[in-house]
Amino acid sequence: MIVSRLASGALLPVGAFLATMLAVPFLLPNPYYLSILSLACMNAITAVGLNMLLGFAGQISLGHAAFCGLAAYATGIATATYGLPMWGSFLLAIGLVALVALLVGMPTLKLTGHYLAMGTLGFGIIVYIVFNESIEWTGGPSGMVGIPRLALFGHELWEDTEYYHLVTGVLCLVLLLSLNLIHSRFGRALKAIHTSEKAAMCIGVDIARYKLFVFVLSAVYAGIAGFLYAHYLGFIAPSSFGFHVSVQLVVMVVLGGMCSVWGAVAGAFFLTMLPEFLRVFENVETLIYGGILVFCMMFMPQGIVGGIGTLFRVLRRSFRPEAVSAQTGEERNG
Amino acid sequence: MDVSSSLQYLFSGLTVGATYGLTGLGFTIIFNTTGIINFAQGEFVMLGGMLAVICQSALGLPLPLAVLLAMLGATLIGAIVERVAIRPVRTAPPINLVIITIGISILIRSAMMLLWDKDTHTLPHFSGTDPITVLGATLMPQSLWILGITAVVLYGLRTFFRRSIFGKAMLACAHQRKAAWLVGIGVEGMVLLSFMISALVGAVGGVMLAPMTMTSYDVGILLGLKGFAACILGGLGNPFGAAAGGLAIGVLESFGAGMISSAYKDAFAFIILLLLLFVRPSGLFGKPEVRRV
Amino acid sequence: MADSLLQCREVCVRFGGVQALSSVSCTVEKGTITSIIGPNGAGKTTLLNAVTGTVDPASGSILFAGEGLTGLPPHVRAGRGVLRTFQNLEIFTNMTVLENVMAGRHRMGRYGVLDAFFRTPRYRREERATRDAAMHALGFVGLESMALLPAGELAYGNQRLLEMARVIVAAPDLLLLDEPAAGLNMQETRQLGELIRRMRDELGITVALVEHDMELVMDVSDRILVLSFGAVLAEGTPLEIQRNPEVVAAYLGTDDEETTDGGA
Repeated sequence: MIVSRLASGALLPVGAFLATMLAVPFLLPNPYYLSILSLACMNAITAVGLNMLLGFAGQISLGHAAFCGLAAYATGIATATYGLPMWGSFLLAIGLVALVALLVGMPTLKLTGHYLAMGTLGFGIIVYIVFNESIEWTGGPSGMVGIPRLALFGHELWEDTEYYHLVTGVLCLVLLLSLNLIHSRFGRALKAIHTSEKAAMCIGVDIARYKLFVFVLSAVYAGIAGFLYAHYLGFIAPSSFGFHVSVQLVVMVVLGGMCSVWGAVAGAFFLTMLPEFLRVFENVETLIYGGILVFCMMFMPQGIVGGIGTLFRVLRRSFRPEAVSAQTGEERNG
Repeated sequence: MDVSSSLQYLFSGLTVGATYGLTGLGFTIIFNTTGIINFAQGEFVMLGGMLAVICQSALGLPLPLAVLLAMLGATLIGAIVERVAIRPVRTAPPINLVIITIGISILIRSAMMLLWDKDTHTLPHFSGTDPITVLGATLMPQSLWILGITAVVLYGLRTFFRRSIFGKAMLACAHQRKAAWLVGIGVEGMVLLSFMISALVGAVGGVMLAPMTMTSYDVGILLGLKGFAACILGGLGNPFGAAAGGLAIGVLESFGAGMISSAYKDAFAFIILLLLLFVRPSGLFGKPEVRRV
Repeated sequence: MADSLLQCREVCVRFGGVQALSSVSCTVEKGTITSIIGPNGAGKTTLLNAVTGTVDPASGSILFAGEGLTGLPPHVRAGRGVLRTFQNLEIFTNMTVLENVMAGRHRMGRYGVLDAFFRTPRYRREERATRDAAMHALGFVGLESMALLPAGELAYGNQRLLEMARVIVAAPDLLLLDEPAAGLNMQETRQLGELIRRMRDELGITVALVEHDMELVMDVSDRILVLSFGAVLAEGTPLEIQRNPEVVAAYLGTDDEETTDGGA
């Protein structure tokens, strides 16, 4: 039983998720929904990475939108301004993000707790200001236009459905790799750092190196999302990568549930789609958004995924009355 | 750079820095009793300014009364926030509480936008707009008000923490929550009190800054950010460090804007902040964490 | 003395103005259980921390298997086979019992990140071996039936055992136990003593034990080192230590030293 539980891998759930996602265009052949889902997938890619950093290794970053932005602007400038081929631009953008994350992470990850939050927040703001002010490169606050649509093997993905398939595929790949990593000695080391740094180092985990590794990895995920974003919309502006976006990414991770990789996906989908559903309320839209955020966090402390888990347990308990007394007994003892 | 323009930068830096400091002070007070960063702190500052604007321009109240009502209103909202959204879930992990305060800040901001409007407003200066000239630099009377009120607030808080039983109890909570609880201090009441005091302090900052820089429903975001930076720079948990941190950031920004470029003034302040954190990971006046196994 | 696994030579540790350890020299022989005892504040845990690298000595040297450890970070020392447990349990509560123990084997990990990403045969092989070793270690301490429980749900005594399994699985050459009996009842303490002895006899682990429970110490120790006020007061077999008048004085206080009673 133990063997099957640990070695079965993540192929099955990720495959099921992929199948569901691919079925959506048939059920909802509406380009508007597809574009929102595409954006949700991109956010989910970033959130999954941030969850590795925040949920598993316990290190906060309030500057992850900057990594999305760095990749988006890098590929925008490389392709639109200098006409670099798509694959070259991809390598350039991701390489740049990884390098910046490495250089920023080395001093910043020495900070802990709220100081780390401030450090990453400061980095995000500095990058945001650079996007705004280096107008000759980025177009400044009004943004950058004319970024070519993504092309794969010489074929430009103009159809929304095609792009949707692409981002879904990339998200599933990212999920698969992340789940695999979590179920390895690296994942265990990250979780160890989260609960007890001193115990982690005393079992041989090089804490500084692992923090840096997961920081760079999550930045690369954010970079991939930023790359996809730039070539999807063809237009980027600094406001898409500002402080509030970084905060929103953290909210996605926590609201989704930090206990699992899937939580980040749930949080990203929920928070990306919520404003679209609330659009009918026009003026009170943000009011309701804030209210839902507070409400969810108050009543689902374990996030969406954790909340669903609790719901299942409660349902199972109510169907099996004899289990109730045993459970309450346990609670009294614990 | 000549004396008069450096003095000018210093004046404007200190003026803005004082409000950053007051915002940071609010962060610190709540952090000390709860261990969380209250992302709605900037909204308390906004509430101070905006409520005063509403009382003064819409209700036609005289300025002192409007200011007083604004401060009371913000304090009341601080209390409501604690009772409704924080107390019921006080045992939740800190990150959850932080997210809740993010939600609250969105709520307060959009409620203000709905109840009032999206425009920018201004308050009359407290005592006229005739500038004072000092060594060739001009100083607005409002700046003196801001610096003076900040000093009074700091002194008042110091007396409160040192002399009054509530203040001592709050310090005890900050130091050791469990021990404070064991000696019979009502930790819940202290948390409520801390939300009220930081809302009040924030509102004071908002009210006095409004005549200088205008105010609107969304000024809280940036002020909150700067206040957070101020209390981190000063060393989290140290109220006077937060005030000093605020002044330092204000002055840095002002000189950065004057000497480098106004576009990069925020970046300048944050770069200095980051470099400082790399050298002193617990801020200027923070106690370095003693590592014991 | 050819077999001494750990040698501390004139180790001094200062915390600010406080001299926590002043010129402590001691050895731990391979294949033995050596206890470090002494009144509260005598520097026992500090000595242990100096060996594992969480505290830097101001002077002196620490040799492990003939090589200097001084200056190496804790994870490198763990990598060389110096493992420890903690006085306040440091269980990874965000993992299952089995995962905790598997995490303990980190220092033996060989596969790379890419192996993990793509679940290569190398990854599978090593994970299987790690899992088997972890189950074996859990079996050794008697927790195998709880392998899939969240570690935080274990009772206190079982969490102690889990921490033991987590170090056993790493096949330490030298294992430092920091007050492993703290919080255990008499029966659990007796079982713990048995476990420590089996670790020496069946697994060949050299143990250094910091402990307050004298019954346990006298029961399992081959050698005992007594610290008092940061200095070595005595060293010897349990019998020698029990008969040493200075040790008795340090523990019970003599007429002229009543105020400095350690209160252990």
